[in-house]
Order: sequence, then structure tokens, then C-alpha cells
Amino acid sequence: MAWDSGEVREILRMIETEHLDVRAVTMGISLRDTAAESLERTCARVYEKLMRSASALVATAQAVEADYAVPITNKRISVTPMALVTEPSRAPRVVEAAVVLDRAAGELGVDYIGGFSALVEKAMTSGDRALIDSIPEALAVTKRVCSSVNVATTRAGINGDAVLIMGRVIKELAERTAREGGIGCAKLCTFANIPDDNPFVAGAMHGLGEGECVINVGCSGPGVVLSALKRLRASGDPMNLSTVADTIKRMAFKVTRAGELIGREVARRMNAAAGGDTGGDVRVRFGIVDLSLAPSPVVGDSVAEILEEMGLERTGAPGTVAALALLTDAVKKGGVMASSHVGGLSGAFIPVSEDARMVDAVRVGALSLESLEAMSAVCSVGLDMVAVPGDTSAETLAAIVADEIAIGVFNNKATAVRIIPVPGKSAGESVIYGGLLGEAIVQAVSRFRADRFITLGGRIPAPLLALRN
Amino acid sequence: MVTKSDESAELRELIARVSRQVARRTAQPRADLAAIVAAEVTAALGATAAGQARAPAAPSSDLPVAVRAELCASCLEQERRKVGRRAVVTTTGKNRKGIVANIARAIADAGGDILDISQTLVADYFTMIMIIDLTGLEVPFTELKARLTEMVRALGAECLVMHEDVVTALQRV
Repeated sequence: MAWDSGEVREILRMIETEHLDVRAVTMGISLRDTAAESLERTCARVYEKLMRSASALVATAQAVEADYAVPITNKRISVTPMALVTEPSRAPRVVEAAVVLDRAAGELGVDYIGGFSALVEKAMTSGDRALIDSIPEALAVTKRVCSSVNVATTRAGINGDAVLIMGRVIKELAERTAREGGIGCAKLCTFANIPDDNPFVAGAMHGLGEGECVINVGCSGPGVVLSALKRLRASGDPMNLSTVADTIKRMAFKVTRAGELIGREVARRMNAAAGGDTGGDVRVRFGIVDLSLAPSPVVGDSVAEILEEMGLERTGAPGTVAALALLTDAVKKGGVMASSHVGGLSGAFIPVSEDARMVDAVRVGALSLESLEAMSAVCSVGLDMVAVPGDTSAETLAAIVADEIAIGVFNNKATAVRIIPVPGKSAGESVIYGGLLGEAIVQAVSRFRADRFITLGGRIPAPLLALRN
Repeated sequence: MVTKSDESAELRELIARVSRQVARRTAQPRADLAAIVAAEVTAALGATAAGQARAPAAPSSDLPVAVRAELCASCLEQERRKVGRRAVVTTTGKNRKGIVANIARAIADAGGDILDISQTLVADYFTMIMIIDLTGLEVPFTELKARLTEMVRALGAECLVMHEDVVTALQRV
């Protein structure tokens, strides 16, 4: 036989009991050619382009899923940051653009559409402002639209004005979706160093240097890594930091290979169907694999469980940052070998509500907002799916965003904040969002304030790190 | 070194195999259909060979480099397609009489060809891995998959059918 039967059995185990899946196949679509002089006309062109480009996405992904037996959990679309597309219309509010994205996404059968976004790391144009002002209403009236605002880069520094505005946007969005626990905030990321090719929501967008259409893939697979570490511990072989790193690396390789295989095949089939290389007008290319470990609320599919399997009593205990750094680095090393193009966020995600064991850690008081901040210095994103009391002020929210963004800017990495001030709830209470979003425990926020600092306005200059020429 | 007699033995083997396949796929085959087809093909080949003997074909090494490269590329492509047309069927569950026979029959009925089987039995639980060639598949792959999954489930076991690329991608550097 071409493979050892143990090798085939291992894959069977990964798929059937360890939750190996491809978290997202995300089709990036450029909307640069849809901008028009009126918002109405822009929306019509956006709708037409999405329906034309992505009509085969869900069916193709399902066919590939059937052939390879690896589940694809989400099919998504990411588009050019919408502020650039709606700006020529000079509309003061662009909620209609979100509505049309939502409609197209619904009709195409995709789970999410990302890119209701603005890039304002240095300053804002009137088009950026129109989009940002529209976010609370846009995300409250749509289901599938995800929004992101890049308020800082290592090159440009931090746009303090935008950070403050985002504090207010988050607050208003939570209030508009109060009946569902402020769920609108789960669809909004405030970013530093936002990647152009991230397949994961809510930060997915189709960057300016991208082509017409691209297929990006987000891996998953914490369950696979967790089981491998459990087997290592049970095997009686030496278990030390080196063997732990090595085991994670090997598993990350396999998980990423699955993502690469699926992504390439979806891109190949979609390109062939669109006649991309034979005169058709849509060329679909494979972009990148984002090799992040993405947890889900299912037991055994948790990043926190991996950290605890390494020997932490609870995630958030002293030692958590070191363990997470080891994990993230080993995932990258294994993944980068497995894929020809790695991109997006690529690390390990720590979305609190989406990871059942992390929720437990918050519940027992092991994991605080501050420990999550420290963890974000060594993993993929940042404060992700964190619930805070509903009475947290816009200024305090902005200050939390500023801290997280500073970690990204001054460490030359992407960080983001996806925080939910849950209306009417205070620290220790729970709110259930369901599905991949899971359950959140409202976390305490420092009672000391930073209002004067956060309302100073202006920009935090780019760090010395930016001057690399 | 491949001798002429090796070559013709190989050819005869090939003709016989093709003929058996043809006979197998015919709805109501005559008992001697394989023999008839084999005889016809051999005769036809003999005629061609005689023609070639009068005007000897240029040995492949005399072909222009570009043509050889192209042939090579197309062979590779063919090989890739052939390889890409194999599936891995794994069945796990409590051992039961006739389970292997049933799976094998379902595969044959769909036009699949079993290339390799490995089976392990621990206590009363077995894992069977089959590699099947899908080149001659007469139903869509998804149909074969559905048939196998349903049939195996009815026998109280579990079955996973996947393209072999998955195993290669995950288990080979």
C-alpha cells in the first residue's frame, strides 16, 4: 500500500474525533471597479459583481468537501475596504452599501462577508468618516456583514482621533443590538496592521494590492494538536518543552496541508468554471493559507485546553504567555513548511467566548482582561470576543482599544479588538450568542479612567521600529 | 533490460486484462467474450506491427528534444490524473460476516477497481482500508460515496470515503 495503514487511520481519527476542519474558505473579490457617482448606482454594481464572481463558491466548496472528506465550516467573501468604493458617491451615510453586501451574501449562501471597512491609520477622508459613522446602523440591520477599521500601523503610528471614535462606535453598536446582548460588536474589529489577505472574520478584507479574485483559506485544528499532546503525555516518551514544540509543529504541518489542499482545489475548480485561463473574465487564484489555530465552542477544539495540557492549571495562570508563545511559534514553524504561501493572521487565536475552556477560565477568575492583553503580544490577534460591563464608557473602551493597538504597533504585528460592552450586564454575568460565537462571561474593567489621555486627540507618532530604511 | 519476449508477454497480459474488463462491463456477456475480444485485438495489433516492420519507426531518442519534453510532460500529466483518480475507503466497526464482500461488490457495481486492501482486527473491531481506482467509475463519485456510506451504516459500521490526495498531502512532506 502507498501508505502505512496507521497513516490512513490517523487521518480518519483527525476528521472523525479531533475536529479537523477548514474553518473558512474565503473568496476575496475586488470591488474597485464598482465605485460610481451615486450610492444607488454603486450598490447596484457591487451586487452585480458579487453575484457574477461568487455564484459558484458555495457549490464548489461543498463539492471539494465531499471529495476530500475534510469539512469546510464556513464559506465567506471578503471585499475591497468599502470606504474606498463608496467614497466617490460623496454620500454622508453608506448603510445601503452594507445592506447590499448582506443581500448578496444571503443569496450566494455564504456565512459572512467582510470588508465594510476603512483604513484610517493616519487620518480620515470624508468617505472614511461616512463609513465609520454608518457602522452601528449597518451592523445592526444586517446579519452577515463584518466590519473592520484599521486605526494604526507600525509605519504610520496610531490615529488617536480614530481610536476615540471607535470607542463611541462600539458603544453605540452594542446599544443598537442590546436585545441580543450587543451581538453587533462581534462583527466589528478595530485593527492595527490589518493584513490584506485575512480569511477570518470579522477582520477579513480584500486588500488594495490584491488581484481580481482570490481564494484564501483559514485553518483550524486545535483538537488535532491537543490530542497529539495528550498522546505524547500518555506515551511515556520524554515530555519537555522541546518535545512539546516538536509535536505541535508536526501537527500544524498536517493541519495546514489540509488547508492548502482544499484552498488550491477550490481555486482551481472555480477558475476552470469561470474560464479564467481560457478567455473568461474572472480569473480565480489561490492566495494564502492562514495557519492560525482557530478554536470552536466544541469541547476538545480549544486553544486553552492545549495550554492546560502543557501543564497550566488554568489558562491565565502565570506561565500562560510563555506557553502561548511556544504554541504560536511552533504552529508557524510547522505551517510554513506545509504551505507555499502563508498569510493573514497566522498564529493562534484566543477569542474568549468561542473557546469553551477559556470561558471556564474566566468563570473561575483565572483569566482577566489584563492577562488577555499580555497574551495578545505573542499570538495572532488580540482582545477577541471579550465581553465587558454594559456601563463601560466610550472613553474607557477607546482606552482599552488604544492599549491593544499599541501592542501591535510597537511589536510590528497585527492586533485587533473585538469587545462587547453587553448592555444591562455587569461583571460575572453570562451572555449566550450561540453557534461559533459561543458564550461570554462579562469581565471586569479597571475602575480607574483615562478620559483625559484618550481625548487629547492627534496621533501617536510611528515607533522607531518603523524607520527601517 | 527489457527483451522482446518480455514486451510481447506484457502486451498479451494487457490485452487479456482489457478484454476481461470489457466482458465484465457488458450487460449479458457470452462466456467466451473475453477470448473473442482478445483475439480481435491481437490480430489488429499484428497487422499494425507488420506495417511498422516495413517502415521502421524512428526510435524515440531521435525525436526532437521539444517533442520529447512534451511527451514527457503529457505522460506526467496522465500519471497525475491517474493517481488523482484514486480514493481511500476506510471502514471501521464491529466485525460482521459479509461486510468485506458487500463493500467489494458495491465498489465493483459502481465500476471502481480495488487496488489494495489492508485490514486489521483488534478484538472484535476491525479497520479496513481499501484503495480504489476510480478511472472506470460509472457513477458520480458522490453517488459511490453515498452508496458505500449507507450500506456500511446499515451493517452497523462506519465508512469514510476520501480522495487519496488528502492522505498524500497530510502524510508526505
